[in-house]
Amino acid sequence: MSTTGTKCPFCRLRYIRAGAYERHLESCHPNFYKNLFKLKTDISRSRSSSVNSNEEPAVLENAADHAFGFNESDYESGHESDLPDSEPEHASDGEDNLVTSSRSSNTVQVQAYENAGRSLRDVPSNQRYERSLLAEPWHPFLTLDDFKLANWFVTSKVPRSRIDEYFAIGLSKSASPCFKSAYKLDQYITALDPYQHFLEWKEGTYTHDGYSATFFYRDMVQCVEYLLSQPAYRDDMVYAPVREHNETGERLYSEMHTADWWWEMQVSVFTSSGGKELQSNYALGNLAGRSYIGSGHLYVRPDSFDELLGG
Amino acid sequence: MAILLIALLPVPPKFTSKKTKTRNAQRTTNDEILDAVFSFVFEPLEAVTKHGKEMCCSDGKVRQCFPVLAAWIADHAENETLHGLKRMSCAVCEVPVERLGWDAKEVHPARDYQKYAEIEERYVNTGGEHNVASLLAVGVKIGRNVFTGLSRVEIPLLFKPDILHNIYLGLFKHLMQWIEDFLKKHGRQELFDEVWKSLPPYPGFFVPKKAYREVTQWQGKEMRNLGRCILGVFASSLRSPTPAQQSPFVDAIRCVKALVDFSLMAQYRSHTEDTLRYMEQYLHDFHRYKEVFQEFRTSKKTREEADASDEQLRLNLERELKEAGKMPAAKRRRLLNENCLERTDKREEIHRNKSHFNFIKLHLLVHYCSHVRKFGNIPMYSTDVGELAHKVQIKEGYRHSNKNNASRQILDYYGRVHAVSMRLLTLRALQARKPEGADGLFDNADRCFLDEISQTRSAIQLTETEGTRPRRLLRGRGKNINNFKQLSENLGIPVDQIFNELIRYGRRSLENADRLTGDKERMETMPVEQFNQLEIPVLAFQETDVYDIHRARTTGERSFRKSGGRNDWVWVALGTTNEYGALHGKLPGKLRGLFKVRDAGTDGKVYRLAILQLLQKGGSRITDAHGLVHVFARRQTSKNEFWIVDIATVTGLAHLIPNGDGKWLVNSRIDLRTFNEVD
Repeated sequence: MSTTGTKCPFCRLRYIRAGAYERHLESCHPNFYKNLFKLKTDISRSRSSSVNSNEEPAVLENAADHAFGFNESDYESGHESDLPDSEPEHASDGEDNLVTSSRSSNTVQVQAYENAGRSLRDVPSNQRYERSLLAEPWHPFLTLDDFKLANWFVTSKVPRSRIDEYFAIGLSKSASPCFKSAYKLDQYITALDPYQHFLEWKEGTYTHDGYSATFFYRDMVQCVEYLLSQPAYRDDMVYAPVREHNETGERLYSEMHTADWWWEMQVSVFTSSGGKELQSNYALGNLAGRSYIGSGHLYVRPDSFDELLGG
Repeated sequence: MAILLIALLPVPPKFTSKKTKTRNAQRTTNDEILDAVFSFVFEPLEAVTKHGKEMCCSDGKVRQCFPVLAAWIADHAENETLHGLKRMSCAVCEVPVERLGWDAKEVHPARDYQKYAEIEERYVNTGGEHNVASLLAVGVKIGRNVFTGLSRVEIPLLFKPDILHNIYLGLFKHLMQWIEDFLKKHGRQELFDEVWKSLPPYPGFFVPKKAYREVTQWQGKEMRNLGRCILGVFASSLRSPTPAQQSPFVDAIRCVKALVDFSLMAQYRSHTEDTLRYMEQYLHDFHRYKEVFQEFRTSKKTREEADASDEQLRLNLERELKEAGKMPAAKRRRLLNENCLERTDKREEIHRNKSHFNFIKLHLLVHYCSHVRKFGNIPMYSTDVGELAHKVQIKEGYRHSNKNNASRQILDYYGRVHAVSMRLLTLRALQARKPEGADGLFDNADRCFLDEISQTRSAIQLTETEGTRPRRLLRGRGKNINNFKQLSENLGIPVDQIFNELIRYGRRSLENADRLTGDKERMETMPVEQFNQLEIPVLAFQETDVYDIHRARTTGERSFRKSGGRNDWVWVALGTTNEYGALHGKLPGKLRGLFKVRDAGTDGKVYRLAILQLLQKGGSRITDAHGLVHVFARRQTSKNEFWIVDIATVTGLAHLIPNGDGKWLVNSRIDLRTFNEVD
């Protein structure tokens, strides 16, 4: 930057440091300064740093470390040490306050859409999958080791021919797994998922003027049912839209259910179903489709489906 | 995991013929196929969207559900095809091509796809070229697109902002071209490369090893990296301008700043009206200052035109000179000079008049804010998630197949992967939830296996477990360091200086009883351990129980991964939050040593300390357009050169961009947390 600095428009003094210039304006031209300051606060983010920064860096000697409440140490050595540790029990929360105070979610007021997402009745208990899972977590595999082996085959992408080879040359000596070939393994894996029937693939053909094209698809609605029924997503499921406000009463937009679209859609669903059905309840699933062009080669143009509620 | 593949679309046949007529016919057929397949896939949805369906939910309740198509995440080219639009048209509003690069304040009418379908139908039934013309005028090629007729779906709302393609791979790519030309014009390229190569490390930031111009390919990850440091690097490479350069430099920095800030704020997970207003303001700023880059927006055609006119003027002059015959040398020189000036003026004029910012990616930013109000945060809909799913679900499956009748094999392959990982996910969720009387249902081996599997995932992030905050860890104990003498030799700092600093540290921040003794002889006998790494858990942005782990290293002179010593910059909390202005009570410092001392005198109290070279905060200049905080080194001779602080006051890694000798800029754009805190 050039060293000439900025000239005060009123009295021809020159300043290089913003802080000094601001101080000068404040003391000598208060009227102008007030207007300027008002303008600045409008633009700059809620806290205006320029007012505080006019001091030269303070003498650190006097700056108290206590300001953050760091008296309690919150660390430990990463490995055994020769020194006896007399670790104080610590709950230093100074840092937490520091971070969360900027945009905290402590006192969020939530306004929910009435009647939305309420349940009609319970699912019959014989259809509850979790119970049986707790008793037999690795079903249909007999033991944990069988599942481990299957998991390893699948996640490390072992080719089917190699899986067969593994059993053929007798590598698995320690235990006798319940499957002894890739074919058998497939059958077991298919039985792993109790909601498999929702995800069935169907084949479709399009014929037009002698040209025929084959494509595969799933039933979209069944896919929604699949995602809704997964116990794994249970804690992340949201069935109704809300409106959130922070402590100063400002509207918060975060996840999809806190924004306007779902709310408006819920309203339209209610009104279209007429008065008598208001007794019943509505959960509104939302879907996001997506599609791609495969990079370069167009051997497939897949089209997958994204259930945002499941996060 | 919650991304399910819905369909594998048929492969459209290749364009075999070179004749336009056959090609067009085939294009129509392809569109028809696409339309037919989509209506087939959407068909089961229709009735359920209208009337709802009772579905079993995972919490054991049955609900009446109305699935509605809410989003279509695709890149822009794909969106144009599906919406039946011409190139360079927005799927949300009817913005004309020549207004794409204009400010957001101008509102264009939203697209009415229902109307387009009706107009098209009218044309099919009754003819009338004016119908087609009216569609083409608003950029519509096909009136009835694949989404038309789906109930409860508002087609213009299906479009989702796409940070990856739109901002990082789109606008930043453009921006870097402008910046490159800008630096070239002002002779700052070497400086830029120099700063670019000397960036410090930061968690999640990939330190560039090559000069900017040596990098040939830019991927999404690298562009993201670039977005995190470009403002600081650019500002630093434009330091000390000549008076003539001052005004363009300020504008250029402001323009870059506005775009970087916009891209950062677009990644917030939670918005208020305030943050949305800032986003609008940033976009507005960008439009306000973008003119400074206009001359670099020239197309090839414009440049050719400029060259042609240049040539013309030169020829004119030659002819003139020939016709005039002999003339004095001075006059000849004057004529040549005049012509030269005229040519530069003309060239600039052509560039100015013919260049524009009317490209679609600049326009799409306009819809970001309204999207947040309707659908919540933007990263949620980012294409990266889906593209990762595409890679795992399709590409790996194809690679695994024997390439004969691959579709079926792809689907089966992913089916297996999905089933196994879904089971693991379910069991983990069940284990975490601990349903009534579930103890003992999973035996020990089961639990160990599940823990192992879930642990492999969280290498750089930690979650709070049962209310205990993760703690700072000292790692990498140095061998053969047992007392202060050895420590001081290792660090290259005189023992006396360390002792003085220790005393100063005690006076500054410890109670009387806790202080280390002032007796130097006793201090020499105290046991000391040295470490080279400090792991600091830092609360992730807009989270309350997820921590990023910052690893601050100090290897002294010893080389770290064969690339010289590494001594990281860290933030130290020294004052109250209203000190040091924008830094809010924190100062950056270079970590020089980590050690642990036990004082036998005070009940074996253990001190875990860090030695740093603290920087000072400089005042901001009025002419600074970048808004980054200046920091500079303290004088070497001063007794304050080194500081000893408790490691609890080290709050995380700092990212500083070199800005000349002993001066740095605090890069507050390195991540969202710093962006929010340092301001």
